Amino acid sequence: MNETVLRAQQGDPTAFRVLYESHVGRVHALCLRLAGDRQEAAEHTQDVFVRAWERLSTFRGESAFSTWLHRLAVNEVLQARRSAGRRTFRVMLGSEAEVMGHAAPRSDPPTPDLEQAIAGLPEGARMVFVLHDVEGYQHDEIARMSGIAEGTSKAQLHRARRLLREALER
Amino acid sequence: MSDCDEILALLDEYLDGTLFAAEQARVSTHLAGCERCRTEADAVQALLAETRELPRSVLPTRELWSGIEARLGGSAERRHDAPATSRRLPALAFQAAAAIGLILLGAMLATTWQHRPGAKDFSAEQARYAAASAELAERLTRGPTLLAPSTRAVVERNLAIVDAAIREDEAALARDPGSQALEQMLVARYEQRLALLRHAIENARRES
Repeated sequence: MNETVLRAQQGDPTAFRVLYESHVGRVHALCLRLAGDRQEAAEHTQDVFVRAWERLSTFRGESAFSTWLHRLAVNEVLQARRSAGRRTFRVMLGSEAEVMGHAAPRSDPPTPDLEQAIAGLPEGARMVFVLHDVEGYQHDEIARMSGIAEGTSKAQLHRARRLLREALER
Repeated sequence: MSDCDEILALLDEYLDGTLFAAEQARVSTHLAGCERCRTEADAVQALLAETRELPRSVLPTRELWSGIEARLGGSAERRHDAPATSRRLPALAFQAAAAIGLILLGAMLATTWQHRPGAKDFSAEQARYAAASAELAERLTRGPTLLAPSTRAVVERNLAIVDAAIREDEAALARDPGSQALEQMLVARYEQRLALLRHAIENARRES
């Protein structure tokens, strides 16, 4: 097992800081895309690393530390968002195009880039899109991690791709 | 539903390569002859190509470490107390008593645990388990009782079953860290093992 990970497991906060610096970008990217909000993403990122510190004893080196941390981050963010009932996202019933900017008049801000469009997706669609298309998880894994049915995951992915194309005007 | 509607409904899975071969071929054939559906497929593919180009790493726009560091103190102590499989109760089986049927008891405890309120802090539960295990091991090694070989064998078998289950759950948790379902299952296993040991001690006391 990696020496830095071993030292962190023994309670060395300096070693854990090294791990943080090495992995914060990857974890934060995931949190940012899942949350769709910078402030919430920062909170999630902090929570993930605190949780990783607490859970380090369960890391046995059977996978890369980065893989273990990534999976922990996904679980942590999904759990946090379920618990907090963070539903700050627009209800996408009949007004999806407007929310995504598709129906905006020409004087409105320009077409968003892909990151902005992802952030503008409704919660469920965004979660599935990020996990499936950005992070590479399969629908059965997403269903297991998020507690939704596999069919729901597929439907949300279809919806997300459609909304993104609308938002990006293509 | 028209042919095109059917094909478009399958498009995501087609592009993800998760359709059965026959369906995959059917969609492929349709796309070759249908400009409208092909345009649709090209658009989704373009989106996926752009998605693959997204940066894998995005640094936070503000400093986060100090907030994390401030929250590490208590956790580290708990983590030091957390058990590792290899530290678990050496040789205690040789002084425990008969415990047939305790696997069923363990299953009951597992169910109870899942409905227990406030069972959220896995690290704390690990620490509690480690302390309880150590205490039981100590009591067993100091105990006045000696086990009959036959009862010792039964206990060893039961412990082996529970230990194997714990190892499996720990490995699963290592692969899927933070999974609450796995944590709950593992804590239930810990409870199961503790119950087995307590019962063994009690039986040994009665037999002495």
